[in-house]
Amino acid sequence: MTQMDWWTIVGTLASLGGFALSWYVLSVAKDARSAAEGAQALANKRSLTEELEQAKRNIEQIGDFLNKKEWMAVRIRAQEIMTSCREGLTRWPAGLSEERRNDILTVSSLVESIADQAAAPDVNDFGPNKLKLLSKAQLRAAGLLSDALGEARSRVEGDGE
Amino acid sequence: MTRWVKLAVGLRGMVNDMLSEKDSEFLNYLSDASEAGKIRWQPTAGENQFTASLKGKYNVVTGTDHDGPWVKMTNEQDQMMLFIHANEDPFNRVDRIFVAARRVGLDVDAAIDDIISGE
Repeated sequence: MTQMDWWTIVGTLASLGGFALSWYVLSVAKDARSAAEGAQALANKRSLTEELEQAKRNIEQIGDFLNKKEWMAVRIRAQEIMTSCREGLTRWPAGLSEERRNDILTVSSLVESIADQAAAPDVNDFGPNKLKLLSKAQLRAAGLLSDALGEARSRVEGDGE
Repeated sequence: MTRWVKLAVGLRGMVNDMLSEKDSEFLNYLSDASEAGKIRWQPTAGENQFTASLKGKYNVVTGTDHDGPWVKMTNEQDQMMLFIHANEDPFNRVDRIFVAARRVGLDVDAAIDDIISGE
């Protein structure tokens, strides 16, 4: 073989090596990208969980405020829950199943009705029946939030494994 | 399908041009599905007011005022999309929706079963 042939062989091997290296780098980059996307999805779901946890704490506080008849506090917490529900549904559209999204929308509606009642001019004259209605709506909303939170948590745990 | 040309004035100062065919289709769906028990109506903190959510995107509330029942639909941003009062609906579907919502929301059938089984 001539010296030219040797250079051709060396050149061919070098370009094959370069190709293999590029392929490796590309696949590593791809893996890194999908890992980053997975981590981002997980982080998003964690945030949805946190949002729902905050909403759950707020609905529990509404229960306390209803017992104490602290109507302004009821309205403030109700507003916060409605914001959490809206934000949760908008920022994480795929974070919950359709059924649980329905639950969150219902929570928002129930809480709005509580806030409406808490803003009534005769709120301080509410009788036991009216207070019971408010309390039942609060308990129903808390139950629905728990269901949604359970699903959000199990999705995070499922993805984290 | 009949087209209604009346100008219906809803509550809270909102004006509906008229009940469109789509509105009518929606009322048909909602009344049939509610009567069939397919919609999970829940009582709100307001008296005679019930709420349900659909498709993970829309919320429907039905209630009554001095003029009779009404139905409203909002989106996930709580923006009002539709408000239909019973007096805008010549086929009484809004009344039917309200009655069915109350039946589901207050679990009337279970209460009746409870009473009958206790006899």
